[in-house]
Amino acid sequence: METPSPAPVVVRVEGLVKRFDDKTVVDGLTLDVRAGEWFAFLGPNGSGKSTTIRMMTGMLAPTSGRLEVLGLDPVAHPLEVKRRIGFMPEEPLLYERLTPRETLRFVGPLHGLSVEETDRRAKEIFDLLELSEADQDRFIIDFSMGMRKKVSLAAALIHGPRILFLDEPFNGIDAVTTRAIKDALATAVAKGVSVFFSSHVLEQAERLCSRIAVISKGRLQAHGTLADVRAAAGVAEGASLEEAFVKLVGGDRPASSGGGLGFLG
Amino acid sequence: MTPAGRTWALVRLRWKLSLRSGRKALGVLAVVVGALFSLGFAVGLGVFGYKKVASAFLHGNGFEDVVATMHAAFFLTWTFQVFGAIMIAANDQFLDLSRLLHLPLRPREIFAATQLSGLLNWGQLILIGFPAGVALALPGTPADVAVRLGVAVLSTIAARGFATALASTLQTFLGRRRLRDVMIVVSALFALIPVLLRRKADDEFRNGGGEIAAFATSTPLPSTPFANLYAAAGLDGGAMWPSIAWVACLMVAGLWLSERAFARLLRSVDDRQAGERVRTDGVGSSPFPAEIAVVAQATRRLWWREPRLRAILIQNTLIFGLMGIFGSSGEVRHDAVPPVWLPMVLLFAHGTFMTTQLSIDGPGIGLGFATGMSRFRFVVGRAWGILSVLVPSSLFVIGIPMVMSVIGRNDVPLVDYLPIVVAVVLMETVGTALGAVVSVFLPSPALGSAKRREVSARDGCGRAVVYMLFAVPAALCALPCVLLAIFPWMLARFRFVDFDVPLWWMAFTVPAAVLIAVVESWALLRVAAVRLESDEEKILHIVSATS
Repeated sequence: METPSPAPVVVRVEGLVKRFDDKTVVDGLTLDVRAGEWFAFLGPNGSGKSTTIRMMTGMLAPTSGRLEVLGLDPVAHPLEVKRRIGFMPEEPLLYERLTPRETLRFVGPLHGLSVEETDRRAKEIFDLLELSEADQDRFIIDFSMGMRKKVSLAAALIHGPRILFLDEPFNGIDAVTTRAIKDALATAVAKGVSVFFSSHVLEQAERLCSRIAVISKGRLQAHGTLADVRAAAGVAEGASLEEAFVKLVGGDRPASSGGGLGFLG
Repeated sequence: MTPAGRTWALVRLRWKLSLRSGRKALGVLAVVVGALFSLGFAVGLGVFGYKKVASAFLHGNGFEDVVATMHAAFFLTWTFQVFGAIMIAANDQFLDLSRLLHLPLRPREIFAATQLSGLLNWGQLILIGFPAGVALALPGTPADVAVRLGVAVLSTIAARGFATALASTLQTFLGRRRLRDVMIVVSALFALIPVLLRRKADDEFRNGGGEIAAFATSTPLPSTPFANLYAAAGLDGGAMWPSIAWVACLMVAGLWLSERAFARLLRSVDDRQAGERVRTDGVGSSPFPAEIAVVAQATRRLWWREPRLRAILIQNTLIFGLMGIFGSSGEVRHDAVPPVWLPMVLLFAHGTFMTTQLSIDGPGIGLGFATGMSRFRFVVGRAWGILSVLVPSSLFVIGIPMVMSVIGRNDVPLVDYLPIVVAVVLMETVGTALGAVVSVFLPSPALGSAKRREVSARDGCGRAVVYMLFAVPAALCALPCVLLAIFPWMLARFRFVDFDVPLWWMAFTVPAAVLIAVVESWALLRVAAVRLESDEEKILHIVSATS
């Protein structure tokens, strides 16, 4: 029986380095993302996840290393890359005195869509994200974080990107919103879109992702399937991703003996 | 979509955001007040320019006075453009470039949209008012008047170009940790140029208008070509066309420089690291109960850690210090101490921070509320924290002349400075208490997050300015209560130097002023605390929703 050939690589990163002044934030990162896969980019706070995503999306120039997104160099061709990808930042960067509908009517045409086509797509996306008609015409300034994330995701999806880069998409939102966003992303993946998301919420990554990369202090600690990550961490086959992650990022320590917090009595 | 289409989409976005800068009824009111205020200002400046030139011709000293007037008009235009560009960048959500970085837009498109959309706003209307008034007053054919009006518009575009270049460069530097404080010090020095020029103009005025004209035309200020062109268009038709060519060159140069600086700013937006070090020392000694001292200390620390607040503090210290140095060179009392304009300077310098006491630290306010401490104590703590950084920075204005008196550089007795010191402290005390009331009744969203503090503008256009419209008149109404007790003595000592007032008068007025200020501040802080308690949820939502 013939094994299916692996999906094509859509993001290729080789020896990526980013320095701010004398501080190295990303240090020799190498990984690849394939078409139509959920890819989790995990790491503790301050490990360089957001910086890496900003470089991948053409917003930040790397200090050195090679970067290729859909066959294009984001430094040399930032506009072409931005037209083909969607980006959802950790903190939704929205104009607070626009409504969600107006936001998409601003973003869609910038990507070359007509207003009619933008409206048609907006309706589909808002339905999928469960954003009511009334909410679509309210100013974003009145929205909760969860609703802002929905609008931000809608803006990232409106032009039909081939890759979605999501920076901490599930951070600070409730379970209902998480489910709505997850369903929308699953629909996109089913249609061949790659989803690359950074997170420190391991449960989502373990459940959703086909491949995972773990980064700590700017350096890649593991890369591949869950089994590959477990192997890199040196934990048992049935161990959870949390166990492997903690071991990889150097957070493992002996279990608490119950000492400390003596003032609690 | 074509590049022009994308630029136009951005222009429309900015106008839309500008029109929605306020919320609901207050927002509409703010737009109407802003429009009326700007229109009135523009017409006022236009009439002033017209009358100034018309009067110069009436008195037969046309050319010199026209040149001097035009230099004043264009120099002010340029200065305000730079300050305006920086102020607007801090308040205009459209200019929070991090919101545009992930979109497929070229820097040139964003730049063009910024310039185009910025040309049609109230600030530009004000700036065109003065030269337009002069254009109408100068003699000439209707064609000459049309040319002069065109120059007013061209000069505004050129000034915008240079101003944007400077403002973008300043913002780029603000984003770099190592350059930030150096840049702040340098910009504070630049801010003193108008003060120096005013002093120079004062000297020259004593010698007649011709001297001013000679000084102005020989000074390589960026506004010089525009002023000369105006004079030429009005008085010497032959020199007009070379001047127009020169103006056009300047406009192109300004826009070119501006675009390059803007592109550099765009590249630098994400290229930053915050990295502030946390100090963990104790609260030290304080005249207040421990919980008030803790709130005050947290406020003081914020001023040093938040770059924009620190920038204001450093600038205040430098500006007041240098004003003190200028003042100290005077040999008579009214030169050494500036009693009349000092209240206004203090009010404007600190007004924004007095009225946004809650919004400078949204998360800190949330933490304070969560502790369950009395709201009155909380408000007192914030006010004390702000006062303890503002007062020392302002006292340089009087401290330096006092030192000059001690070392014999002027002949003002030390005791004469005492009421001024008291006045400064009391004015700031009452102003801060008043600011607490304004910030509770009209809470403003947090000024920015730690991550994007330099370019962040979370609350649409000009809200701080609208707040100032409330704060300044309110403060001006409240302050006379304090000044009433002090001013008779101050005026007697400094305005009428030959009028001898006995010291016992000061012994009565100073304590009276202190008492009035303390009671007034206490009452204002009480009002703020009561309102804070009754409207806590809403206020907390507004001040910390975007932080």
